[in-house]
Amino acid sequence: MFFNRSLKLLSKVLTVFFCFTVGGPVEAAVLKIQAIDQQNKPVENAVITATPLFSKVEIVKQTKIIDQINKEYVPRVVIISKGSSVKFPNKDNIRHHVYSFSKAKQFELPLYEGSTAPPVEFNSEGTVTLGCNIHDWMRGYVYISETPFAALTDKKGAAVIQELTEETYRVDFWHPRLKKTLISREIKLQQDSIETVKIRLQLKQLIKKRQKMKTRFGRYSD
Amino acid sequence: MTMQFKRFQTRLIVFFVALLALLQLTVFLAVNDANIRNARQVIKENLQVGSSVFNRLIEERTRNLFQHARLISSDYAFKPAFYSDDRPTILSALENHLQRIEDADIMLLVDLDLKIIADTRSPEITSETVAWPALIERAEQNDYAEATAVVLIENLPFQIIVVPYLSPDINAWILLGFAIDQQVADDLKQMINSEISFFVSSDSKQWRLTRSTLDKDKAGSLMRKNKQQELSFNQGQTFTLDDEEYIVLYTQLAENKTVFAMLQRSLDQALKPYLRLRQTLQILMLFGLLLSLLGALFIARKVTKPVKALTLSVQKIEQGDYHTKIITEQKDEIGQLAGSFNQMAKGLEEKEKVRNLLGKVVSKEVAEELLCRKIELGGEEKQATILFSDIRDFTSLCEGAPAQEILTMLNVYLTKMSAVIEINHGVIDKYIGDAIMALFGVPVNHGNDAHNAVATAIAMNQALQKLNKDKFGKAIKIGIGLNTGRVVAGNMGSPDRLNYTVIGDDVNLASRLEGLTKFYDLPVLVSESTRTAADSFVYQEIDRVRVKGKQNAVAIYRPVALLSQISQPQWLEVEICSTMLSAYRAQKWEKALEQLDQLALIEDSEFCQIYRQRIAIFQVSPPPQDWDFTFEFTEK
Repeated sequence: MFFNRSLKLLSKVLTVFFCFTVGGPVEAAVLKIQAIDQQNKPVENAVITATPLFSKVEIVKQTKIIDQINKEYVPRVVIISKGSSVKFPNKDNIRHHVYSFSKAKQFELPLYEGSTAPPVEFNSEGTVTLGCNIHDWMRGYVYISETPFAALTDKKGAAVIQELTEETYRVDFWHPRLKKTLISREIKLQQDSIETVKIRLQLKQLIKKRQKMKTRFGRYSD
Repeated sequence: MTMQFKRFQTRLIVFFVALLALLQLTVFLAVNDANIRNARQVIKENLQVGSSVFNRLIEERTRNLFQHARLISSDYAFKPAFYSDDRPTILSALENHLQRIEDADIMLLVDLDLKIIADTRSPEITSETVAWPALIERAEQNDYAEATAVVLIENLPFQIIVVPYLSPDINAWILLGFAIDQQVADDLKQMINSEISFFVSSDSKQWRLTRSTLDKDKAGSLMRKNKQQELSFNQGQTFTLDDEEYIVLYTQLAENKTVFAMLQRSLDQALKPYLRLRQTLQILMLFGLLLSLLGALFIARKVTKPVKALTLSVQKIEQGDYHTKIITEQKDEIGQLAGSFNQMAKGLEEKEKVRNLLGKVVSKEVAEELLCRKIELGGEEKQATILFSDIRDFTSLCEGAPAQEILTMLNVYLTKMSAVIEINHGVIDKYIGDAIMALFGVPVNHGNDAHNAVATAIAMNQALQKLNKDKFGKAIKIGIGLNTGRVVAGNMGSPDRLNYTVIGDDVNLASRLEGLTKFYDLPVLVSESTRTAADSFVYQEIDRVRVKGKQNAVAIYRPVALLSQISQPQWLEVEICSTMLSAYRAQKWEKALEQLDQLALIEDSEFCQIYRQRIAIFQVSPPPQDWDFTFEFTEK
């Protein structure tokens, strides 16, 4: 275990070293993404990953946090590299029951409070959809990426992946509501360049959260 | 054909009964019409309500299904089963859920590629595309990813709903459905009290009857009707099933026009309470008619009975029976009429009594005249023939005979003579002892009154002959004088006590002529004016006389016989008399005497004696130069 971890650390150090030594004082390539949907609206929370086709990239394990605040997962989408862990601290004063039946990782954290739940490790790449057994609408997504070059679009649908080298990348686009499972594109990046990619994502309709329009006793009052 | 109701009773009854019948018929028809129209309206409204109830029922059940489906959709317990990828487990889980939902009949799980994962209806099916992809496509478009529709499964309509299966995102589709089957129809029938039949069609052209609450026979009829395309499927249709009229409302179940419900209600059933009422109404009407018939009959009887009695009484009065009286207890107009009638009968009776009495006191004609006219003093000048008759030597006749016997004889005589006079339209003016004064031509002019008078005189003599022979046994002789002329006829006397009679010179002359009969010994003597007026008789001139109190001389005659009935000897006598008079007046005394001799051969009458005497005198002392053949009477 220790060995494993020290190996990872070593590789990271080596990569940095490589950048500085081989690339010299050069500017890395930058991939700028602009995601819109079929209505030309910016798409938030779209995951973009860039996987170099020819070189291998060292993956660094992380531990990320998905909070449960006000009966919502915050943030809704988290990108982690394979083997990383996610902690699910509960900030609400009620218990939550986090679960996933996704192929990449099936687990459940039965009703708990605070930070009592252990971190969950995701060892298969793919997407994991998180639900809450007692709150139907709570939705969270963990994207387990093979590559460290990954970004999440902001509210304007924009995302930036920096520190890319001159390389051909397979750029994957994913979104919880994407009609197709995954969209991939090959992009060749030049050194010192800023590549801007505009991507249109065909999204499924957002299912509205059903809210009771009337109080239980005022059914016939309208 | 016209019916005539001659009888008042019939008319009254017909009128009342017809009036009542017409009134009742009108009321009946109006009520009947209003009821049927009302029943139709009520049925239509009920069917509308039924249609709403039906749609609401389906909506409610659909909503229930959605609620159940949503629970399943997020049911945590089902998730491990779903992700087990073990189809029998998944199917079993579905069946488990289906059992929990009373309202649902089928449940399917369909993956996102629209392939069936599990179907409770057909457990063996896997990986087949679901039969209703459009339904799921609609759900995908829906804000809540839900949809519902009516579909046909083996020609049975199903209400199917689709909800997403969330674990926690959409991983599959859950389909739940219930059949719109007999149960639904029966439930509905119980709720809305109308028959309901479901028709389905896959192409909206050919409709099939699937389920119906109608009984077997009627459902069969409906099916036949449908097959023969007699159903228009238009709103407001009515049709008859096995002689029962139905009012129909069609209601569409789904927008896709695969199913509709036909709500139908029997008009006859709806009218049943009214039909009972109608029966009562009819009985009441019949009763009313009968009652009115009896009433009319009663009233008619009440009216006609006294009227009949009245008629009978009037007929009796017509025949002269005045003693009739109507007895009625009625106080109404009829009663008043009966009372008035009785009064009238009494009045008539009294009047008749007076008339009879009057007829006895005066002659019938005079009585009539008196009764008809306003009785007042005074008279008018009229042409009349006056008859005077008298029994010759009555005084000597009475001598030695009891008064009673005389009176009896006189009464017999007068009765007979009066009868003769009246038969010949003569009017007896008065009896003066044994004398009779009779009038012809007053008060009523018959046109041949002089003739009647002469005929009367002859008949009176004939009647007397018979009386003499049959009753009296002695030869009573009468003398009759007749004269015709203008007389004044009228009521004479005082206003309180008056007499209908005639006065005038000609009346006196008649009386004088009657007096002369004794002198000439003749039964009848008529004046010249009477002879002229009654010219159908043959007369023998007797003389020319100047009676007492009269300046003018008159010729007097003896009526011999009717011209048509005169006999040969009579003619001869008349002719000899005429020749004798001519000779006499020509002062050929010898010839006159010759004639008188001839006459005497026939009958040696007083007439002959008188003229022999006169000739004998004239032969001694001839008549003066201005002889006008007149014989003057100086006494009555």
